[in-house]
Amino acid sequence: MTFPYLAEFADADTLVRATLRINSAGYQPIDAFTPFPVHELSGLLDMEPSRIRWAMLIGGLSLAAFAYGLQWWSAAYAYPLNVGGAPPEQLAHVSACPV
Amino acid sequence: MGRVFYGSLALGWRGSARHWRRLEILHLTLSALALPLVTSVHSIVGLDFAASLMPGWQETIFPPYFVVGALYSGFAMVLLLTILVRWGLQLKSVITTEHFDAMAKIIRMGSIIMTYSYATEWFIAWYSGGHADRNLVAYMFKGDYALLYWLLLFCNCLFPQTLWLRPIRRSVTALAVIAILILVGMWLERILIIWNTLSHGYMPSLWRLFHPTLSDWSLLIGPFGVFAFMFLLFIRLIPTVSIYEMRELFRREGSA
Repeated sequence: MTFPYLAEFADADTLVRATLRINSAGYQPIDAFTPFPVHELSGLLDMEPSRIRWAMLIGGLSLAAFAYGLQWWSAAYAYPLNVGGAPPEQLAHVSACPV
Repeated sequence: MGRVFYGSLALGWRGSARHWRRLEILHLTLSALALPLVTSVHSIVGLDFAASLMPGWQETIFPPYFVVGALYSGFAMVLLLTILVRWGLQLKSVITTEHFDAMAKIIRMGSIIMTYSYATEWFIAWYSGGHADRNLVAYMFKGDYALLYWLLLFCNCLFPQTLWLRPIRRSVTALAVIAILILVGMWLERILIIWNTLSHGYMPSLWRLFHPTLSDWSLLIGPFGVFAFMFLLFIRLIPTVSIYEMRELFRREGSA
């Protein structure tokens, strides 16, 4: 049977040293809680990339597409502008650009 | 009750090493996004002028000129607020003269680039040979708003050159005076871009001066109150100095 161990350290350097020793002894540290970022820990703990990233990417791309589509639609259909007789459906792509 | 309220506001933050790592990645990403955003916002404002047909506005230098101007006056504003917050909250040991020295050097560089932009405007107006453009530059220096224009040049170009002197860069009083002068100078620059061109366009029959009304003055002064209110609320509710970054600094300085 395995037991998780919980340990408290006086300062960050002791914590990093302890994590190093645990790692070299063949154990896997589960997590570390610190009042400020300790950069040495990021290599020692097993850090898989956050799952939020995909949600952020999809959300960002779809919002960008929506914003572009809204601008294009308003300039092409809702309030079409006649500039020099250019077809508004194509001109709307230009007017949607600089934002 | 308090535990539930603050606990849900924390959104699962437990100070884990993983959380810190994600915070730092996000921090870096958002800062990297901010600069292109500043550039694009101010370039578009500059393009709004440059796309017109008016003398003094139809200049290809406008987008970068507006970006630099925004950074310049923004830095002066940040410098002034830093001085006030440092004085008000007694943060002398956190915000040091080294910080002021570094900010002053960036402002000095901003001043040089602004001066260069003004000089480019004058040169191109002369070099293009356009009657209206040359006339407008002469009007800027000698016309109805000439006094304001000379004041602008003094505030933005000449006076900040005192930042070449190290004792000035390290004097909080001197920096506060310079920051206020730059803010006045940049405000003058922005109204003069409007006033000069609209008072001296292609059509002499439309030449007339701008007279600010009560609405103009209240629109100028009112936002000071709104800004001061929001800013004071901000420093009252949110820590002005990031505590965890200070702890990090203490650790680095201690072990070094």
